[in-house]
Amino acid sequence: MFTNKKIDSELNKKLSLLKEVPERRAEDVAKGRSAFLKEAHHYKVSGVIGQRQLNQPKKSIPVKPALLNWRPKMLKVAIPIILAFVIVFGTGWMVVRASQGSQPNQLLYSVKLASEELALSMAANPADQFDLSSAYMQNRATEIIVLFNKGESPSEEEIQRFVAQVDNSIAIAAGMDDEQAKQALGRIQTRLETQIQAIKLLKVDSLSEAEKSREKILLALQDKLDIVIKGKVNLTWLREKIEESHSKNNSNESQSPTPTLISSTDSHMEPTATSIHGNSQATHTHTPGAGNNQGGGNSGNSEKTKTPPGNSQGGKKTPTSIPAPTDEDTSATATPKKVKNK
Amino acid sequence: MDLNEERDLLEGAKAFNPAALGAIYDRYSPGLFRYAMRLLGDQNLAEDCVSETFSRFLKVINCGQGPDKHLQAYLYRIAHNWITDSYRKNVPALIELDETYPADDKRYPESEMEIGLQKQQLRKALMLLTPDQRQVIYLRFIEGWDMEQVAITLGKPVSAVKTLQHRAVGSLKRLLAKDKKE
Repeated sequence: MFTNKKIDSELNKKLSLLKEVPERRAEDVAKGRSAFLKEAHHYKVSGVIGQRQLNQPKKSIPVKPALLNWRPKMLKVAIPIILAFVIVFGTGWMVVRASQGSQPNQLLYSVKLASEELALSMAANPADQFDLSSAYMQNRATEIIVLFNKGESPSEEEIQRFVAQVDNSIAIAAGMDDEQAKQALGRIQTRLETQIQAIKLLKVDSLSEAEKSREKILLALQDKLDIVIKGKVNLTWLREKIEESHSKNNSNESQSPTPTLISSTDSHMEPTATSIHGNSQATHTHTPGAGNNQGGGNSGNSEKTKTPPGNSQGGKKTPTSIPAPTDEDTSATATPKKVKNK
Repeated sequence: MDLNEERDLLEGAKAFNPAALGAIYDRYSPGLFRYAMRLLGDQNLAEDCVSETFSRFLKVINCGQGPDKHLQAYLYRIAHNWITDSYRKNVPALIELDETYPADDKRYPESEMEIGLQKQQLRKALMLLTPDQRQVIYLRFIEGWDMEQVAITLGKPVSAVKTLQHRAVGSLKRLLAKDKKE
């Protein structure tokens, strides 16, 4: 085993000197052995750690938390998803925000209407729903006033949309409990009165198309105002009218896809309007400058003129008065008694 | 010792079996002592080396590590590292034999003094080798191990150990020749 063939004899001789070592002292051997076994015993006794470590892999591998290990992979998947969400919803949110100031006939106006409809459908309770609907009612009024100020005439669709929003607010208010309903109707009344006043104060050429639209809007708003005032006094009547209107709308749904409107009479709106008043026979026509009317804005009562439904469908014909519902209106054949001149 | 016996001892040691550990100590501590004694030239230091070698061995197996075979090579590697560290930390004060060295005919006869001087010179020369060269010289030519055992102890391939041995012998010769001239 000892191979010294590769080294010369002199070196081998010198190295052989180191082979001789003094004999190891017996007490040192015993002491060393005892210390070794004692230390081993210590590890064995307190060797929970040792035993546990025996079962571990031979080489200790630094263990990273699992999260750190799969985080890069997770992020690879999550980042595109998050970005997609941000882009889609972020962009969508920006478009919706931008659409809020849009006007009819503008590109984002449909987004504005859709967002309003969505918000309404997502409202948690009737009170919130009413708040939103009331605000949207004001939006429609503002849009129409802006159009008038621009010298434009609101289209029939825009007028109907406005009136439908008023109807919606009234229906939501009527759906609340009595106390809340009265308060809500009071708010609608105030808002309608303000809007009527604002529209009356608009400067519109008396011979223009805009003036005709204004007349139509004022008549419709006045009609709604009458319903609200009456409804505040008689909630049952209002609810029945709404129910009746809904029934009619449901039956006419297949015939007319246009919005349904609550009206004290059928004649105040274009044929798409459906009255909850139920008095389809009562139509009040007004011809500007015909004598009964003492000028636009006069509040004196004028003689009520009943005309057959067919008479009210003339293109230039506008109602002279807005019939307010009376107690008899709760019946399907009730005739408006209160007459107001514009 | 055959491989099965060594494996049994190692398994016993890893379970802190006193019998296996005692057997390991009895089997390997004398050789380790001689190895340390030859390198260090000091009995107390050699005992420290043996003690520390076995203590480190226990710590290693307590951590679930340690060798599955070649226990002897593993223990010599621990001892060698301890000795190398010991050199680095505290260079041993090699005793120069001069005229003032006490003349004790019984303890230091002339021939013994000469041998002692040669041993000191040899150790001094060996200290100037690299740790691996020094270990190859000791294990191959003093302990009488074969190339494979040395390779296992050093953790190097046999070919590398051969090269190492060649350089170690050449360096040691030059150092001894230089010392002789001085």
